Amino acid sequence: MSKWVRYISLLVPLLGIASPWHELNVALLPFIGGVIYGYFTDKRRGVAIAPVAALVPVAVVLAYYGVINGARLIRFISIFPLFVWLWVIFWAVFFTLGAVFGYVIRPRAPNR
Amino acid sequence: MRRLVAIFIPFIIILALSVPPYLFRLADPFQGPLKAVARPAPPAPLENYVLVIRAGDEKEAFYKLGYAHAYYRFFQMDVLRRVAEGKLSELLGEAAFETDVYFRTRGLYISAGRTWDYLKQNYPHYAELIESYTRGINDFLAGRPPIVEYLILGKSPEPWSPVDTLAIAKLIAWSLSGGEDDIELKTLVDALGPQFLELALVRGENTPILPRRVTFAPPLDLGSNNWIISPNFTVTGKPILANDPHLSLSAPPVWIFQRVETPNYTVMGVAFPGTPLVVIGTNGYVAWGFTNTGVDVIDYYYYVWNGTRYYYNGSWIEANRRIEKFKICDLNNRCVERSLEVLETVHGPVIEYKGQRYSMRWLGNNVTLEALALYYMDKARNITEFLNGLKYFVTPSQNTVYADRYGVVAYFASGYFPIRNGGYLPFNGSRGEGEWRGYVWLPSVLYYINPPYLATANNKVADANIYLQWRWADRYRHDRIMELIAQKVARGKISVEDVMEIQRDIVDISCKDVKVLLDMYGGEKGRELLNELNKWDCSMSAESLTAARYAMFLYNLQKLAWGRFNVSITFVPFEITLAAIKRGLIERSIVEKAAEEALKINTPWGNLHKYSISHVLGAVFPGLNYKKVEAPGDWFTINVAPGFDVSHGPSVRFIAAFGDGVYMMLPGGPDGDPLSPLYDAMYMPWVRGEYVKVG
Repeated sequence: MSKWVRYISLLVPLLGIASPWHELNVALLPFIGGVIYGYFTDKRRGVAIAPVAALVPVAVVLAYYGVINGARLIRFISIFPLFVWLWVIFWAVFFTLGAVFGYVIRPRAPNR
Repeated sequence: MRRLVAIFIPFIIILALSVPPYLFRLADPFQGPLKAVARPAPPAPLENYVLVIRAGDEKEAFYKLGYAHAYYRFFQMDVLRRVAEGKLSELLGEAAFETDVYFRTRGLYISAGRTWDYLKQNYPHYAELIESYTRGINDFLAGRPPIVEYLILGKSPEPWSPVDTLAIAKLIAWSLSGGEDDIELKTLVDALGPQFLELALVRGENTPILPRRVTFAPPLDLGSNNWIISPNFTVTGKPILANDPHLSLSAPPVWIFQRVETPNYTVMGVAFPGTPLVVIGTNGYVAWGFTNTGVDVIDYYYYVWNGTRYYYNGSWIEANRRIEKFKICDLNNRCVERSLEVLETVHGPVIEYKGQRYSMRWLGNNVTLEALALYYMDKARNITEFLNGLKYFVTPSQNTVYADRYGVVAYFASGYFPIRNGGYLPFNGSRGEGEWRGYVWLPSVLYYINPPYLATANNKVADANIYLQWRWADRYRHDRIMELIAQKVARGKISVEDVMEIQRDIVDISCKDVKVLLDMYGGEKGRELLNELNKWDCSMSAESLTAARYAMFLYNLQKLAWGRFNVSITFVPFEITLAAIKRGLIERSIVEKAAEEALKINTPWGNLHKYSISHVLGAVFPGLNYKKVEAPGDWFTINVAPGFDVSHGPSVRFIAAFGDGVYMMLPGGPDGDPLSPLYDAMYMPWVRGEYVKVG
């Protein structure tokens, strides 16, 4: 169950497609996705790979634009690499922060 | 520890949210610039780089043109209208404020508004067409298209109005009207005396376009090339017309090449985005091209002031006032407002230039109907109909070359010219000097029907009994075109390929004058340079070291001659520099100094001289600029490429050869969207001097 929730959490940043607010799309949604991801992660290793996990929604977005118009996407990346880096870094950072936060606030199993 | 982390992370999030909002915008993959990848399909095709509009009637054609211009070039259109109307700082912030003050003060938007009112009242049919064009633009904008520049800036495009279209026309007219030349000339005359003025006004070395001296009877009440070759001299036995107007080179190009097909006529050629009409082109019956004549239609007046009152013709008059409000918005869309009081005298708006207050009178600040002129010219089927259009063309005066399918070729200096005494220096407005007494329609005096061949390159139009202007371009481009045509005629008939070769020519014949100068006034270094030039073919090729030294000599000579007077070093034509040195108005020792500087160059011309074609946002996002490549040519070559970072040159190469075809090339791409593969599609072919056949 928690595995599936974690998978779904990776898709939370994609909800930004319906939002006009940049802060929500760039920071808060990845953060919320990260919180869910961390909350349902049992091992520290799961949190450690959160920055890599954050690249999954990035890849989905790139695939979406690639399907719409691959040539334009390639030109965008070549003309504005800074914007792409900024986006990827923001998502990775906020998702990871969320994951750490979710991990520390998750209910712990009682010590045996 | 866990509790600490749990408290600390929300704190970091709050802190992160306080970074400048524009960073979030630029990084937003859904509502930021990346959204521009998802652009809707084009409304009209680009066939062979040409925007093709097919319509059932004129109204539909104008509507579709508006929609397509906006689709391909809206950001460029918006920048142009904002420059003209002094509203650029709303879009680009503080950096554009000075430009806004400049244009708002001069009041181009006011005359555009008056022209629109006049058109609505007197030419309702044409006004309806402009409204259709406007509706097309606004329908495109209503779909909230993702335009990358707006997504970067975080702004939404504002709706278009017919006045915007006319304001762009005013801006173009202003840019070709000479600006503050009168005031700059005054600086030089004050420093060098009346002898300099005499030199400047006579321009004895310049070659007139018209071979006869012209007389203007009392009224009854930036460089380019074009040429025409009459049917007697062409391979096809039909005329050839060629035009390469030299304007600012920008990404995207200043022109869009379009073909508009309606049941009654088809016209193709270049238009300024934001304006619907073909400016240079052909409709299959007639073809025409323009270069700027530069005739002086701006005057400046100074007065005795007492506060906001000025002395004029024996009485004190309170200047009219208008308050201009500016909105300056930063990247986060935080805006501040500023206001400026602009005074107006009987002559026009009061401007400040070099610390002095002048009132400015510009022909273009009247109601002018160039749009209507182009509308009739686009549809003309013979020279009579063409002239019927040309009579509405007021300013900027153009060397208009004409050719038609019947074999007629002709030249007209288009536009109107205000008759007054002088006009080259600021007038004493308080004494009533420099009043305009009427206007001459220039084609009634400055024309040539059926010349064997004729070229114009912003050189002197004609020796005349009145002052027309003094900053005629140096004769070299004109003379070189005429020389090449004469050579080709001597060998046989002229073909389109010959004309293309002429447009690509990079021989600078000013070298002949420079050799004489070095011979007369050069010292040791001057001789050394002269020896080198004597072995050179005067070709400004990118690979040539001598070309680099030659260009450096020209540059340094101009700089040493004029730099100390606080005017642009290209302000004074080179012929005047030569004459001023010969007369001793400028120290002759600068010849040796310039030669010394030139000989220090040890690299080919192409390493110093590159095309530098920028997008409006290119300073911040260099990926938007066209790539820098070696540029052949120089200030005086037919294939002109002035300066070292070349951002001015043939804004289109256009050839209409009746009986053969229509050829063109733009310095960039037809599509202004940087993400489009057509954004710079024609740039390298243009650099190489290639053409596409478009009709």
